[in-house]
Amino acid sequence: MTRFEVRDLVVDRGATRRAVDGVDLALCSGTLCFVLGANGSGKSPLLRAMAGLEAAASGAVLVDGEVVARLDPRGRARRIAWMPQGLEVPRRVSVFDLVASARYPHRGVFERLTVEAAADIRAALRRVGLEGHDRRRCYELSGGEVERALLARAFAQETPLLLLDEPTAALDPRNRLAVAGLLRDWVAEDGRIGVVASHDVNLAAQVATHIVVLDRGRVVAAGSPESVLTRAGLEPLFGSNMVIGRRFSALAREERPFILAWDDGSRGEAESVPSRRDRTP
Amino acid sequence: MCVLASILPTSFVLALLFGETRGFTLRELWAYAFTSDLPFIDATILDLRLGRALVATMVGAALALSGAMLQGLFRNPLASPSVLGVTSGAALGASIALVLLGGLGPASWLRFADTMPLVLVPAAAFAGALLVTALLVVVGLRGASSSMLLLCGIGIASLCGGLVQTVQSIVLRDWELSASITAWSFGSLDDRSPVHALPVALPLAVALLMIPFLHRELDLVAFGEDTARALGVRDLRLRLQVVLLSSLLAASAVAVAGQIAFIGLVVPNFVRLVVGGRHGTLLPLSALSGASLLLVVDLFERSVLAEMSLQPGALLSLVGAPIFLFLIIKESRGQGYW
Amino acid sequence: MRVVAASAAAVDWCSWLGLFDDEAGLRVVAVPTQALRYANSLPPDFEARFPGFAKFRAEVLFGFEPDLVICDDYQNALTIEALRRAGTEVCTLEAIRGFEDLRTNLARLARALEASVASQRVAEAADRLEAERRALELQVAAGTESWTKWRVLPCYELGGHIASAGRGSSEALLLELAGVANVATDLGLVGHDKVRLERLLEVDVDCFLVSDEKDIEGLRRRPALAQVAAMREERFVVLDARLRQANSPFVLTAARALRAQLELLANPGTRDG
Repeated sequence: MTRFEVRDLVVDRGATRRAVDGVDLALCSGTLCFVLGANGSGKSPLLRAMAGLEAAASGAVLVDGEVVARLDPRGRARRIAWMPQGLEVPRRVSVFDLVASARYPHRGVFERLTVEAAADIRAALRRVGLEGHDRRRCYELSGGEVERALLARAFAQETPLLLLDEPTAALDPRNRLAVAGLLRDWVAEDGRIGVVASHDVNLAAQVATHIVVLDRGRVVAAGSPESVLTRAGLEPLFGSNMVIGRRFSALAREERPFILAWDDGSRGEAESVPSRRDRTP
Repeated sequence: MCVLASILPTSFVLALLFGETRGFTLRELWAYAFTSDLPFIDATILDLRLGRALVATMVGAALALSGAMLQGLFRNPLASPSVLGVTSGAALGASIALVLLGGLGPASWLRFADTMPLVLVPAAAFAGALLVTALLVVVGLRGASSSMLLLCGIGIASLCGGLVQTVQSIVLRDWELSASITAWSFGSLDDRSPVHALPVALPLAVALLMIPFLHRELDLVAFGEDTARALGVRDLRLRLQVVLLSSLLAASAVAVAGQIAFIGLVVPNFVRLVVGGRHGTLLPLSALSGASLLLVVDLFERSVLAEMSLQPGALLSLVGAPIFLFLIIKESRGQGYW
Repeated sequence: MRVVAASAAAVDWCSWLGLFDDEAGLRVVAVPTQALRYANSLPPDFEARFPGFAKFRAEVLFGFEPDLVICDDYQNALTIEALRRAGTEVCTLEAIRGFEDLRTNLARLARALEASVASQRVAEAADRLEAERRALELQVAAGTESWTKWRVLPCYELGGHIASAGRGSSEALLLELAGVANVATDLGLVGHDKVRLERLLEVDVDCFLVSDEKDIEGLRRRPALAQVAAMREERFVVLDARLRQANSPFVLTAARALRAQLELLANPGTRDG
């Protein structure tokens, strides 16, 4: 069982701006949490602070009760994996080396890559559908393949906690669904925790077990997908330009809400399909 | 890999066998090394070649390794010891020492003028480079990012460059003095004794021993500084280690042989093109190739260009730059390079 | 005794001491190739008789198996050190900034050549040096001609500027020995330095000392100089560059030559006669 907590976290950007303004969050094993928010709402700073890459002005991030900022870097990297936004990778590095870099926190200075670790790396590649591509160089990969390779690296880090910043932003709809499926399975398997910053509401609707909506660094809505994905909960993200419906999702294996960014001129007075309107406090 | 590794001993032996005057046979070299029953003049010539070859090996290796580390840290193929300002710091120290010895200093110094340049000029160059290094470390300790450090280095380099030019224009009226400063700034391996190899050998040994503790970290830095940190790299410590080591390498090399351009910048890029970007192989091979290249180029200058005095830096650029440009253009077709 | 004269100044000294003679009692075994361009009074078959070398490096010099190497004291200290370490005697020469430096260098050469037959020639040379100087001094003291009052500017082109030689250069010594005033000293120049035209107009010049016709052309191309007395009166003296740069006792020869040239310029009639 892993427990991940964020307590009254504040992250400053310069002297005047608060990127994250008093966020509280408590997640336990098996949670796939989506942090939704418009551009500039503070998703990336929140994730970076959670990963221990950015110093908090106040508040704390805790893994199993230990303060992340006080962990030694390797120890932290054995518990938290962080995948940055974007697809920038060194062009001449092989896919295998890219994924193998995740083993760094697990290796001693003179320790070579063990056979088991190599097998783990190949397993991670197989999981993301890049089996047999390990000798290819990064410049030979498509955007979708780079994203999968980066995901394989995050998996190969073998951490109980996985933080991903916009992992699907550069992907086409089909690849987005595939990556979301991989994430859901990875988290469900060993009772891990995944936190995904995204503005893809529909992906969140299908795979998230928990959703947090950020607006100007504050949490404005949090809870299960059903409870958050409402007109009021999504207001910061869409304004009033949305149409909410419901449909069966193969990923969720049940009916889930879906959201269409669409200005139908109704200004929120009528909804095409009924849905629950209760807002989580 | 094996080919590269065998070039160094081969070129070292060749550097002893051939030179401006007579060539020796391997048998004579054997006698020089182990039985010492050579005529005095031959032994003296071999002494000179040995000193020169040792200094070329150490300086070539130190500059190339320094450049390879910096390029890795700054994720920039343009980084080299000279962009950090370390070489300019050394040049400033050396110019000031030359000027003080050349008559602008206290008269009492001139009494030692016969022996002082031998020690004082390299010492002053080293001090200048150390000062710049210290400045960079202070900036690094304050938590500056790699690109900030790089910019700081460039700033320091142009400041020192300006000061050197000021010194040079002040002493322009003095032919002998400005000739010495110009000669120093060209860089040279002339008549160094084996003792001169020692101050470079020490930081080189330390840096080579540190490679196992640095190469994986530098590999990770290639993925981006944040990714490296997230994977558990202590970025501040890494920055300080690399800046300190590469500065010491460059400082000692420049103090002993003056400014030999090209090696620190081009050799690591060259090696990267051939063996790829893994620092575990890139760093030692850069040192090896830098040493071999300087030995071979110097051998060429001594044996083939006997009638023309050409400094190693100039020759390196003349010979190496076209090959390097060719490789880069060939490589950049399609796949990109870094 | 095998001697390498390893700089243009060293070759000058050897030439002045007559060490290139077959009867000198020693053999000069090598000279730098650049000496051909910069040294004075070389024997006519010099290039064929004395092998040249391009690099001042210990190994190159050892190749000639010398007993003595004569060079300038600002040449590579490491090379000098290496030569001495291997037991070769090295005599270093001062740059000539005043007459005293000539004496110093002669004394050093005397010490270096003590053991050789050539020491005789050095001893004679010391007397010759003082005698030549006294003769010049007497001429200067007796001089009443108009040109002895001229203020001369030695000049040459340096990177698009006019440069000159002030206090502490062998050319200043040359003018001093010739008994004419050096404008560069009035301009406050120390060693070789750029001349600021504005200052030059202020102090005025009676005569330019140049190396060849090209230098004169260069001066004529500068309209600002039209107001200078030397330019109005067309007063230029030409002295071979080797003599002007003489970092050696040839500075005395140069001083005599300069006096003759000035005399010729002041009294063109003597040219026809």
